[in-house]
Amino acid sequence: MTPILEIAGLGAGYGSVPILHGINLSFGAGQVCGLVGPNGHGKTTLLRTISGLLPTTRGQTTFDGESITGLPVHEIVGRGVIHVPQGDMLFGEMSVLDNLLVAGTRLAATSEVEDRLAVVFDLLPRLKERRFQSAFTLSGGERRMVAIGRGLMAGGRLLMLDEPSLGLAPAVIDEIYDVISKLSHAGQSVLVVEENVTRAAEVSDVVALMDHGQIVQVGAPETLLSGLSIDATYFGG
Amino acid sequence: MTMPIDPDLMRDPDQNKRRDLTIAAAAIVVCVVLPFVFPNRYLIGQGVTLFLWVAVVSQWNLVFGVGGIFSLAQLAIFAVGGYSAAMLALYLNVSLWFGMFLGGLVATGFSLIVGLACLRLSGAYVALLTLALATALQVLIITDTTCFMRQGVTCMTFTGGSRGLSRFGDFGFTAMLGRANAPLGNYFLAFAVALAAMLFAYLVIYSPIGLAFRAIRDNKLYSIGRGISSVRFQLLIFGASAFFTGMAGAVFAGHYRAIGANILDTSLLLFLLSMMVIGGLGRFWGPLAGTTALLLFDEAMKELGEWRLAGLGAILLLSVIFMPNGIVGLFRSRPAAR
Amino acid sequence: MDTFIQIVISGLVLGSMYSVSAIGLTLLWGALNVLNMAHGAFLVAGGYAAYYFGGYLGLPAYVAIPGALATGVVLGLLVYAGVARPLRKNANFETTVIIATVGVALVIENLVQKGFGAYPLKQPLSLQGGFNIAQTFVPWNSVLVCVVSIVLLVLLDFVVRKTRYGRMIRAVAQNYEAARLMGIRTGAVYRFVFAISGLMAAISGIMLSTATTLSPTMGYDPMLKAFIVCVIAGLGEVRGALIAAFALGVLEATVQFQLGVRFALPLLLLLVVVTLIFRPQGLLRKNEASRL
Repeated sequence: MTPILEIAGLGAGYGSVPILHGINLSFGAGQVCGLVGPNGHGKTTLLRTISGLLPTTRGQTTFDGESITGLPVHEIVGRGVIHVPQGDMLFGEMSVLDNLLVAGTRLAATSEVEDRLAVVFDLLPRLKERRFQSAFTLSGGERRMVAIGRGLMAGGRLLMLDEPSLGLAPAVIDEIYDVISKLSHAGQSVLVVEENVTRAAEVSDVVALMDHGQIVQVGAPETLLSGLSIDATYFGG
Repeated sequence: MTMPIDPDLMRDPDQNKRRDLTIAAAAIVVCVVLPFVFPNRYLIGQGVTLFLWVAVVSQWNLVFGVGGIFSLAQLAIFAVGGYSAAMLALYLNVSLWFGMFLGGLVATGFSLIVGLACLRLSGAYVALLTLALATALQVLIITDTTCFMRQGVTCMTFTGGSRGLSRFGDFGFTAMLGRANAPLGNYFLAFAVALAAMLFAYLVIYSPIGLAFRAIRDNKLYSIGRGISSVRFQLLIFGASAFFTGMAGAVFAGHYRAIGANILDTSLLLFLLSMMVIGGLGRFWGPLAGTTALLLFDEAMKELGEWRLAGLGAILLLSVIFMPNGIVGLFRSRPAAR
Repeated sequence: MDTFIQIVISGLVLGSMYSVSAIGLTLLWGALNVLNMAHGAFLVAGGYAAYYFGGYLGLPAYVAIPGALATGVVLGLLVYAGVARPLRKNANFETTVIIATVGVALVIENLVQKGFGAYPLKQPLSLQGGFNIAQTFVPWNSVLVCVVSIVLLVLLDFVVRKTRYGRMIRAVAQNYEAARLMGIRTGAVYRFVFAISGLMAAISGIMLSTATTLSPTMGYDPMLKAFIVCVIAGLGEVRGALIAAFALGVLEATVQFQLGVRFALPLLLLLVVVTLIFRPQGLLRKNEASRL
């Protein structure tokens, strides 16, 4: 099985400040990979580099067997790598429907747009109810759903979710993670960045632990959870 | 145990006292000696222009370059200073020497009001508001036809209307220095104002206040979080930058023995804006470099007068795109601090 | 009663000039945060291009007008490629683009002056004649300007709100980075908006020059009025600009008739100042964060 995403020796940073020091990570199609680790250790930077927002300074990113290193953002999106950014970044003045339609802009046929929309509304029925509402009037959980729905509309063969639980109440987080596991059952590949290790472990097939701009451990969630390495990262022990 | 603070951390990376002192000493010597080496009326007149624009641009640079507030009111402040001094001389017989300081004060008051009006705005909105104020001021002066005072058979309006104000005298250098040396008096007066303005700018840029200004410019929310009151500093910067600008306006009026609404023309505003941008926004030496460069450019364009605007526009455009730190930025080895 | 009708009619004529001046400006600001100081110069270029093709080369209107519109589009694209694109990554984009477009304006104005002279010219492509309402002469040309400006603004509003392109423009305006992450080619959107803005400015320039005369500095006053309209409506408001333009036209006419011409412009400027101080988002906009 070819991995859906394969990252080899990836380096990136802001200006002259390097953040990522040679990331290696790979997981298969249809898998959910949880990327965990404390704040400020490069998880978001990694997603931004994969999606092309930040230039890669060294190393390679391969998506479904083809290199996407150094491609412009819209081409990476075109291949099917969709980055759902932290804090949703919705188009606040636009309706939920328009938010979704913008993400479907790349689709040529109207029928294709309608099919995709039907899939999204089926998975996230709340969005259908709220489709004519302005995005900024939604609750935090609904906004998160729009962000995920937008990613699906954009045709994400790989969905990269940056902290989908951020700032939500536990009950709402449950809902969001329900959606993620539904996606997973439907065969969607997902890379989910999460600070809450147990949450990530619930849905992930593979968990990667990030520390100081490097992946320090990769493995099945059970083996990682039982190890001490997480405590070491979190509590400096 | 407290960590000893590295003195390098306390120093402003932009500041280089020895370099600044050397340049300043050289510039002062040149300015003082030049009119005696070339006692040429035209040259002296150009010197006055240079000094006045250096004074204005160096203060404008505090607002826009250092404070990051895109105000276009600087020439309106200049005009308020000049007009105040001229009116005080004309209507109340106040000497221009005294009027110069009063003009500076009135300009400061005016600028504070402008600053208050701009408090909640940023970027393009400040530019539009200040441009609207300056334009309104000019229109009101030009269209002023109400009789205020009779002078012989002619009727004088309060603001001088479209003809401007004149016959309010000058600084009296003819009586002091004799007819031949009178221009030198204006030259050195303008020089003194420019020097004072630049000294003031230096103090502001490298003082804790200057650091606060730059902090607000670069990250308003963060600075507010760190306890820097942006309201207080914005008003401070508007007030502080106006005094010498207003004084320069008064010297302008005294030098030309007249002042008119044409100093509020957009073309002049753009000329001074170009000086500031081309010299280097927010840099201490920027205004001097930019003013000198553009006055030399104007001199060179005398032959090609009809292409002056296009030349100016092209320089402005190219320098914004290719020389974002201005002329001064070309002379630094370190990356800019902003 | 006659005075009232006179005021209303000259207000509408003024308003149509304002709205037609504001079209390209408000689009660029709303969509891309670009306050185009070369807008006035764009108007000049459009007007002179129509004169050049129609009057100088003697081409018929159906060639001359598209020629002038093409000139506007090319100018818009040039400013995008030469100014907005290189400055896009600059942290102070909003202010640097203002300064850079001032430079563009000076160059265009100077070129026009060198090419056509500083003296006013008559635009050959204008409608003649008119009719009377209550002893007020209404030129057909003013009616045309009025209709064209309304049609254009309504059309623009429709494009921005209802079409796929409009949705992309709004997305880029509201969240640049998110738009990129949704696969929108932001560069293409920028180029499109600049081209449309240049096109609109050219139409405005032709309209304005038919109503007055051509001169290299004819763009300055309409640009000032366009700023006033945009600020009072809320920068970037397309629908609001239309309403504000006509409201301000009628207000200005009223002031001119009742208080004297002298106070019209200062009053409008005062309105701008007061608006910016107390309601910087404009009078016709609901909330402050709103873009397009």
